[in-house]
Amino acid sequence: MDSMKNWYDRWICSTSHKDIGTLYFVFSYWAGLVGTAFSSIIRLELAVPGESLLDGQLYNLVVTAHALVMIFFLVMPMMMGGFGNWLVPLMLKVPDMSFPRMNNISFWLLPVSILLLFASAYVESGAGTGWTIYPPLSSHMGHPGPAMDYVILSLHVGGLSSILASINFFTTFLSMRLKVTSLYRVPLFVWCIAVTSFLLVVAMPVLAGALTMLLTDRNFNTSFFDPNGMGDTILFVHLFWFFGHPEVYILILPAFGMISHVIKVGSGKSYVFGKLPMINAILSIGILGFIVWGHHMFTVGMNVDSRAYFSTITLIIAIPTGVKVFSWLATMAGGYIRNWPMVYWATGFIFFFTMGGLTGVVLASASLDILLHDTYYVVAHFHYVLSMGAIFAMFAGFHYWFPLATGLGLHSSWSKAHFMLMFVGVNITFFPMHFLGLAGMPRRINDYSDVFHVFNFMASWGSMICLFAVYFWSFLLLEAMLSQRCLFRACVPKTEAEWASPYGAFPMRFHTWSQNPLGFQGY
Amino acid sequence: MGIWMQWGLLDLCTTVSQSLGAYHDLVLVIIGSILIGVGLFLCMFLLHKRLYKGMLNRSVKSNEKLEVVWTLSPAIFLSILGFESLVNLYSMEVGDGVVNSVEAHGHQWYWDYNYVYSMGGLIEWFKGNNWDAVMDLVFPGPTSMGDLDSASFSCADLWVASQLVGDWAVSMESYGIEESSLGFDSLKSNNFRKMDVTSFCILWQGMINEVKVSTSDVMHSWGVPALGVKVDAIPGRVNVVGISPLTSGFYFGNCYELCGPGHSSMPIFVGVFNRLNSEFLLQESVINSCDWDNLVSNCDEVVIIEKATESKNEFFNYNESVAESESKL
Repeated sequence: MDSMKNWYDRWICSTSHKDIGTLYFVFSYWAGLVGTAFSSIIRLELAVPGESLLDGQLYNLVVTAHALVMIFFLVMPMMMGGFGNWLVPLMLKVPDMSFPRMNNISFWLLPVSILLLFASAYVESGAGTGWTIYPPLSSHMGHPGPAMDYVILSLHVGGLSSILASINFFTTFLSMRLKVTSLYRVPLFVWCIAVTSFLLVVAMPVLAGALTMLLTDRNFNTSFFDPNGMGDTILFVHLFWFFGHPEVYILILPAFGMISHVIKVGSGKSYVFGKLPMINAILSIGILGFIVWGHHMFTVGMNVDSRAYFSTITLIIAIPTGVKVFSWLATMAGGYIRNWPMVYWATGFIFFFTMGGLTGVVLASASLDILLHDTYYVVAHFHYVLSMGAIFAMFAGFHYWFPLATGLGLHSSWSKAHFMLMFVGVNITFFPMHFLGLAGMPRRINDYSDVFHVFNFMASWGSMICLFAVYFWSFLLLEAMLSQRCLFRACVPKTEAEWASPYGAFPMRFHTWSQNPLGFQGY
Repeated sequence: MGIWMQWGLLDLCTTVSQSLGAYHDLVLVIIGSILIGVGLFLCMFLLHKRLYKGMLNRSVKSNEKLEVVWTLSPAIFLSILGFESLVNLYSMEVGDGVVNSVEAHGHQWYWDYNYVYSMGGLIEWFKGNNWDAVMDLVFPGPTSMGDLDSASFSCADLWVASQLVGDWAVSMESYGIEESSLGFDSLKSNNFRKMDVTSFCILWQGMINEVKVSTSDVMHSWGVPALGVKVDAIPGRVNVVGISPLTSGFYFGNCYELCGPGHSSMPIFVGVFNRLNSEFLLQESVINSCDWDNLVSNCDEVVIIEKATESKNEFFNYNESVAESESKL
């Protein structure tokens, strides 16, 4: 029983940033498999014209679940909870996060949230509203059963988890640093996590408010979004996207941070080109991200001057993003580019995230967006920045820091093969979607006019390659655990704070140091 | 409707959307160049050892001049794009001079189109013109549209129309035709699976049409890519879009906002005709739906119908004599 109590204390009542980070990784990896499964189902349905596997409601449910699982249970937990929890205390050289027990509850709220989401699929006909859950489709008129209420509760719980974790990160960043660690000296990944936390703390409550209003509209006879009761459907759209746009920056900012580290070390350098402009770019993207939400709503019938404003400010946000991309290229310039898998992923990120960002510039124009809104062009855009931005960055970070956390090495040649598989797979899947969007194929349809067949067929084959790549990745993880190739020396510059393990031993011990570091300055 | 393996935008058929297409070309050139530039630099730096023999400076930590250049040059390109984009945006406003106004209502899962048609305008127009010139204008060569053959464009119709002068509210429900209803004739009659509908939206070619889109259930979106329009249908709100099609023809569209299980099955079919044919179609809709028995019982049945099928030139004189005799009643 003692060992059970020890296990319970260690894993259920954890207050260790490393253990909680590991829990987040395991959870989000599993959720990633679920999300990949949903995406494969979608592509199987769309492989040929005609309704083949799923009826309309079930297809909409799968589309909704794919997005919610990937966003809220893969990308956010893995980046913030997984990488953030593991690395932020190590990079700041502090013993743990500011609020270790709140850290724990942030994690344990997530299984509750995902359980509620999956439960929604089993009651009545499930929630087939898209991840944007616009009323009236998501209110009692469109979805009269309890499934939508489960989704709302799931997002409430998940939002609470994110808010608590963000408070933790932000407080750690602001108050727990050593005196010698000035803001300029803070590593870029920690900067990204800090700005992401700020975005979460400000934006997530807006979603919570909108969700609560939707819940009361559905169950308690309010009419926030019902025009019959003097409400306005557009109110939900505004509230959702006021959250939704910072949300997508939340998904990508930690990726920026990880890529900065991976590019730096992968190019054999001890600094990123232009760290101060990089920090300023992160701050600008964070702040500007709050005032561009209207570019998701160009067709709802907004005032033309409002559309002009949103269009302009969205174009402006491309400038700090461009600064970051060029700075990464300049970091690579003249370096000794190592032939490591993480470098492959980071290079892929730079190229494909740039491509996704540029199609975002195309969509930023309010006039051209009329042709492309809610078509597959939008799907192509955000899958390039997510599937090839966020996911590639997570793979890069994983390959970089896996030996730190486990002391084991992934098989490097097979990892490069895995990269090639994913690279080919995601491109075959998402590149044809640009053409489909230009030709006018709508989003979220389970059957399409026959003219769209070829590119849909191509995209479905690409998704099968991605699915195989995910199987291969699972094998790689297993193989690394079984082969026990131990890390004996980390070939990273001494400037990388997280790699400073006592005696150079990996994995990092449960308590990193027995006493806090001493800081020296002014010499 | 797209074409098989289409790479780019559809052929756009309004001036506004053609400038959108031109803007897309501009944007694509700019972003293509940027992407190629990024790719080139990536290749250069990845192949550093081979291309530069490893001689590029490894210790460059910052360069303020470079930062200024790569902050300002995107800003300049974005200003050009932004200006062009805003010009297009403001040109999309409907403006004055709307001649045809259609209301499109979204339902789960079909559209319905509503017009207010003023009967009598066509009659006046005919009275003022030579009948043969009219026929030549409307049917310049062999007719290819089976529905609009000369049999239906008859004096009887014009006479009936003259009895129905006034404002009529015309409403047509446009259901997507299911696959099972396409039938074996589908190859012959050019039915498109998932895109054919039971009735279409009538717009006037060359003039400013206004489509007012709304719904009474969930959110939908009325979008026709070839005409460059997409406007959300939101309950409690009417959104307006202006369309000035350059050419007559048939244009396909879809619902662009998730509205439930039938979201993929509510296509849109827009027929753009010249003014005369548009008015004629609406007139025919009114006539075909009006209560014939009630109408005819108010008049001397046999005599009127016989006289109406005599020579066309007598029609105009006859109409006035009927009006005179009616006023005497």
